[in-house]
Amino acid sequence: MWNAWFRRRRWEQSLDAELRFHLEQMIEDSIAAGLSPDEARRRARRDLGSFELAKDECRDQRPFPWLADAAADARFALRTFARAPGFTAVAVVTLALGIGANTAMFTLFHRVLVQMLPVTQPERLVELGCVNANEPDKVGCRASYPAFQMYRDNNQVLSGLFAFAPTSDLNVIHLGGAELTKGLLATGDMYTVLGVTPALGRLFNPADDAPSAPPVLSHAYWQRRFGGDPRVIGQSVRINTQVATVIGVTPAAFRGVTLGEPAEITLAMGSGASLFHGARSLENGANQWLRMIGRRKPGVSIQQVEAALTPIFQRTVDHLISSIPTGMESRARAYFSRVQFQVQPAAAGGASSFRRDLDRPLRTLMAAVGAVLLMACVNLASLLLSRAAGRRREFGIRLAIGAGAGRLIRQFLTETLLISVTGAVLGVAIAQVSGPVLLKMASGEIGLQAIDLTPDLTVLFFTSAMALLAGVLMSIGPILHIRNADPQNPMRDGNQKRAASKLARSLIPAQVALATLVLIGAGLLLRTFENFARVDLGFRSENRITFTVSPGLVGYDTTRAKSFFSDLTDASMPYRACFPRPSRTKLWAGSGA
Amino acid sequence: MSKQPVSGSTEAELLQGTLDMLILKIVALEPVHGYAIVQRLQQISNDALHVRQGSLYPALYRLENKGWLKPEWKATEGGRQAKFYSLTKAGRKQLELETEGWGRLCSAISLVLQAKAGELK
Repeated sequence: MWNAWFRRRRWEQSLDAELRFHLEQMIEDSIAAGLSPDEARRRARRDLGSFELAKDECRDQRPFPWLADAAADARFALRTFARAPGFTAVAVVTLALGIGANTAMFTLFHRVLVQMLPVTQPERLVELGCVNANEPDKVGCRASYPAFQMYRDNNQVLSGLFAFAPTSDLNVIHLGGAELTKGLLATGDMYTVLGVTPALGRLFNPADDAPSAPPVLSHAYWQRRFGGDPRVIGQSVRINTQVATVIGVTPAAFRGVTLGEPAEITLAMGSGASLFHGARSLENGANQWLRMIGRRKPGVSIQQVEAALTPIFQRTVDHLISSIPTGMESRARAYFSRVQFQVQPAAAGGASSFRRDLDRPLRTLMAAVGAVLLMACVNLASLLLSRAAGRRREFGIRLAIGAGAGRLIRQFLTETLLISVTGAVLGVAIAQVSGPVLLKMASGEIGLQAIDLTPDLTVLFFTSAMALLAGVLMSIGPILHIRNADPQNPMRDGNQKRAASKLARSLIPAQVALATLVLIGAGLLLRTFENFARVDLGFRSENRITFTVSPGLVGYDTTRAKSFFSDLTDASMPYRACFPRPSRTKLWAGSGA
Repeated sequence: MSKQPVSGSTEAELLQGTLDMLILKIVALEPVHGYAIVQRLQQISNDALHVRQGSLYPALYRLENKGWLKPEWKATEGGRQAKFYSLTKAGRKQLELETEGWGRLCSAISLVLQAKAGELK
């Protein structure tokens, strides 16, 4: 069985030898029976034809007989390509570009707009938020910690609820090196509610939710700052003014609950007050800073969650308004009248401005690259059609010597699929290179950090489907042509040429329409990106740098911070040589929170 | 078209599927090459069964793929290389099964052919 396919030559030789042996035995026996050698050979030769037939039937007995046909088709296709290298190269490169662009876009599209969080049953996650008509640009709503407790402790619809908030940069000092790090504060049960398992060590739990909370590192941060060293578990790092012990690393696939805001260090919320000098205190009911994600109980719909929790929202609003000084009360009431409680699905993570901003451009781009591929297919189809017209003699002869139209069509499909699959393989390589460029164009460095562009199974499936579709699309015209091929007069110039060119001509309007569409789309898109890239700052930004100094992060109190800043702007200080003409210096001596 | 009884041909046509069984049987006697199988069948059946190579070899390849026959290149008595087939364990089992089935089929068919009008109620 192995020999039949992988040592085809040897298998054929063996078959040939076996049948030849049979033939020679026949001749010998005939001679022994008294026939003249000539007569014996003549009789044997008469049987020769049936031998070739027998061979063919033996070949058909091999497992997967269609494989033989497919292999023969592929060999034939390769020979055809070798005779037309120019056409082949154009076709493969055109498709590679088309499929590459589609793969790159689809990867982005899928990662940003479709893919769910890598947690248990992400479809049951919901974000408690609101529609805030006062600030339509903001995504998600914030709640205070006491409000979060009310939601968590007074509902029958959620099996778990956690709150989280990105922090301003944390100053993380490890082995003498300080670095500002993106942090996230979350309630102790975040990982339990989500169902995330650690890549290394352990993740924090409610018992860790204390002023001296242990940090959990993201996989990317662990790789970048600690070189992926597993010994980091148990080591001490200094975060702002606190010393803490690293306990674990989250899996690489888990990049936080908000797309575009990957946290490098996650801490239980109990440490917020000590890390930020009280600014992240949990008791403060006026500080609305938390977002909430919960898990629906089985069988509970999003509407039911919303209905069950709306009274709690109302109570927190009433409570907040009652705590506001009397003069401001009516304004607060007016503000909250424009805020409506809303529960949203959070399977793909919490509401994200990153996703919202990319939504339209990604959809437009996806449609645009789809049209580009379609155009490539139409172009190649007309190219193939004119080739098919040129090959009508070949097709005619093959039909005349007994090939069925189906066999010819299969041969032709093999050719186009070979082209499109080669194009797809090259396309994936192109996507690998162009994906990050696209992403950076659309969303800058943040995007690169937030999104993993390595192709996964879904992407590869998409690409294969694209290749298949492209191959079939390209073949439709030529196949119609083959079906009408005339076995009677392969040598004569019939009206087939005219039929093919008529078909090819009918493709021209489609090509023009698609090209126009793509051109318009590309123009619009370019404008969008231009708008992204060129925001008028109102001043000349060349040679200007901005930097932030946060003395609060290393424990400076207000007095020390003030004297630090007056030193900084003092013209007599030596480092002022670097800043020869400071414009008006504006400094904030905040705590950094 | 006149209706004439069609006489059974002198060279019995092989029923579909019986060729495989006969090949298995011949090979079971001793390892043989393809040409010898034709000879033996002819000989044993008193010249009634003629198998054409056009049906023999595909059948041999089919049985080999099913794992019932094991091929081996060996020298013949005349000193020439030929492909000899022998029965595998699975082949032996298959032969038993088919012989049994054949027996049942034969007795069933002869029962029908021997039926007389008087026996029907």
